[in-house]
Amino acid sequence: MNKVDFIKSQAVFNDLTSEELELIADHLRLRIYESGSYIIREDELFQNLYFIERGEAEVVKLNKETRREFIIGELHQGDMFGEMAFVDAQPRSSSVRVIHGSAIVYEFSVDWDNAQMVPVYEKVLEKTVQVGVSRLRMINRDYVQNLKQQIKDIQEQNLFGYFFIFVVTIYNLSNLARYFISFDIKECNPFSLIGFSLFLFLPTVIFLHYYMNYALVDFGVTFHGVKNTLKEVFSISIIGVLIAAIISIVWTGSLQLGNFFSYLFRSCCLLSPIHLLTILLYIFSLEFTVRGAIQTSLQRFLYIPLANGNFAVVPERQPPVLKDRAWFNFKQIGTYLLSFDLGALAPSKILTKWGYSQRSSRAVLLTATMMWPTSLPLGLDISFIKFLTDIFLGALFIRQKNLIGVVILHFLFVVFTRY
Amino acid sequence: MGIKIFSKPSSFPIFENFTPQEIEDIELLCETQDFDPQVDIIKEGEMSDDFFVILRGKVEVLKIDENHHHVQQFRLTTFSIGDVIGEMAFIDHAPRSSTVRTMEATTLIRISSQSLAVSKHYKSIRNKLIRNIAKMSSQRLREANSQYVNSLQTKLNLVQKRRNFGTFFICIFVSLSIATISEYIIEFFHYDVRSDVSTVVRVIFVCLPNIYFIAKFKSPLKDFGVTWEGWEKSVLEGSLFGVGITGIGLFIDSLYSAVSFKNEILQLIHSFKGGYWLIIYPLLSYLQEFIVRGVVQSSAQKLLNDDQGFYAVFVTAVLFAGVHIHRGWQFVFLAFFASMVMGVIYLHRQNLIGVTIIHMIAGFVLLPITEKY
Repeated sequence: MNKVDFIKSQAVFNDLTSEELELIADHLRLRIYESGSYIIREDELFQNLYFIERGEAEVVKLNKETRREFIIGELHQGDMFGEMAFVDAQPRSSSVRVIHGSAIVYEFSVDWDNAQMVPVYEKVLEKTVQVGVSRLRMINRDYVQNLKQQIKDIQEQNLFGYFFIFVVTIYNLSNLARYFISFDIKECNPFSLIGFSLFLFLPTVIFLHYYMNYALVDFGVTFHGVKNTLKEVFSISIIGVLIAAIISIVWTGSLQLGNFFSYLFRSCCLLSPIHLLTILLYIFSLEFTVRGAIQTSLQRFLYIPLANGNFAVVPERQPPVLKDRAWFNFKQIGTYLLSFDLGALAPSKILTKWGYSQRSSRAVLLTATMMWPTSLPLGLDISFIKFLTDIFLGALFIRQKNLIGVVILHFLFVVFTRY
Repeated sequence: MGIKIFSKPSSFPIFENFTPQEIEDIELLCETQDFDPQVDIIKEGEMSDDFFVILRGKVEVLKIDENHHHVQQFRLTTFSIGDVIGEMAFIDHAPRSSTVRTMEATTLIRISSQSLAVSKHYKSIRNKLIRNIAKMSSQRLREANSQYVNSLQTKLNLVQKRRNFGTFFICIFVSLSIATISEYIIEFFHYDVRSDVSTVVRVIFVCLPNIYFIAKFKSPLKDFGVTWEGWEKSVLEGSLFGVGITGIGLFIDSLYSAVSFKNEILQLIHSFKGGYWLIIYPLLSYLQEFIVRGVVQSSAQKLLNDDQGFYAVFVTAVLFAGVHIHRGWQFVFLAFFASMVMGVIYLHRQNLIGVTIIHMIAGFVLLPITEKY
């Protein structure tokens, strides 16, 4: 764009005569800034005004105590900046940095001692202040927005505190309960099953009702997407039965498919309907507590977006982005292992395709770790199988967001493996 | 009328560079208004170009957020004598962006373009007003920027606290899992879970995740109670409470097992293993107390936003009791109550010495007894 055309297009210069416009054009210079370079820097004593002809920039301010930079605004094509120092001749209050490629910027050099120019400045002043005032309105809005966010954050953290106390207590009580209740899935004693379900289920429901303002949908009690869920469950159970058949063939060393299926059939039919119903109830309450309540809460709390809507917080270190060759980076793998963040190791493309966020794996893994020891009385090997199935069911629940799928699979698994 | 409103116009930055005639015009053409406390002078969303100069009193600038649940008020700033309010709309003619409410009885002068337009100095007055408002709002924008950055910093601190809570949560559950699983692993290899070697190994493994947690946050050790400060009082308290808890434990046991109190003591002396009790056990107690009281309790207190600390004491006691399940449920209850007492003492003294002494005395007397069960 031509320099004169550009000046005329700026609202700030609207009321000026053609002579004054020429004066301004004399003091206007075109500059090109690379991405990441600073156009103005905080605390510098210049009063120049800038206009963005093309490109984008962000307004950055340093917190002097913590030496941390925060993004407080964005500038786009056609925007003017530097107006505060132009008006009050104080040091720059923030820096402006170019983002997304290079920016073409008009610099209007300002010198209040130049007697010839002062009348022009006076004329520009009112429009400049308008820009400043609209920024003040915006920053006030963002500030209030941020305060609201903080209140929400603190409330959420307090809720998580209660949740923490609750989970710790429930975990230890259920460990202790083994000394009092005979809890044995193999025995399928309705009393112990119901006892254990009530023991887990009731406090969870009461706790959720009083402390967490979650809706039932959040815990997967919904019919939304039930078709897909059933389809997936069907295919998974067929694959599961096939795998089990193959394993049993390899195990016994001979072709005994007939035996295998009659075995399956027997284990289904030998259970009375009351038994089946009890198991179903037990599994529903277990899944509701473990997957619905514990895993969902963990996922919500452990997933922390660093940038949010109006304000972006710039951390000192960017969250590590995993490169393809990261499998060989043992230090990084170690860090992820220690922070339970195994999902970050998987290729993100596949994860997003299957409906996962990278961070959701933490909640799954942690839930499985918490629930693993509760089945230790059945033996180390069974607990380990439980650990693996817990991871599988947890991942499935995150994908389906529906308890129906995990309940059915868990149910089938328990019924088929009873013998 | 000629009422002298401004005794000293030069002290008002908004009237900087004004000539006496211009001040007189303003005094003549603009009206003053009195407001009671807690009255809205400007309401958010209103359309008006007038602005006010405060002659007396104090006002607050509020953003009010109303939704169907509740009303939230955020105070942006306060203004007092000499300050100008409502000047933003004077410049850009947009609706009021916030509410201004009086905090005490306040007198204002209302300045509007319409009433000033009659003055023959109108043009000059208007230019000077804009000039001064320009400086003022630029200053306000600077302050607002700093305020915003500070609040972003607070927000970031909250996010970090939340991340720490996540890590803490993970560490606690990894510790608990290790505690539960190690029981079965030790039994799998046919060792006695309650033997001294198993105890040492277990304690070290259970503590590992928490040591990772401390290493990650690089806080000074004093925050975790590792300090000599006030050790005399700690030793005294520790001995007193240690003997007290042990006495209660022994008394309950003598009731329960129908062994006379004297025989209990004799049995104790009989089962005394010098090296272990004198060297390893104190170290082990200190390590356990460091993790349980120093790290877990003080972190829980911080992360639960728990100023009084009783939630933290409770949750720590549950955890402490939870890792002792292998010693039988009687011991679990004893550990729970002892931990509550120790938690409160640590809360009060912020020093590990006292609680370690309680732990040592109680462990020294009560551990051999519980081996009967």
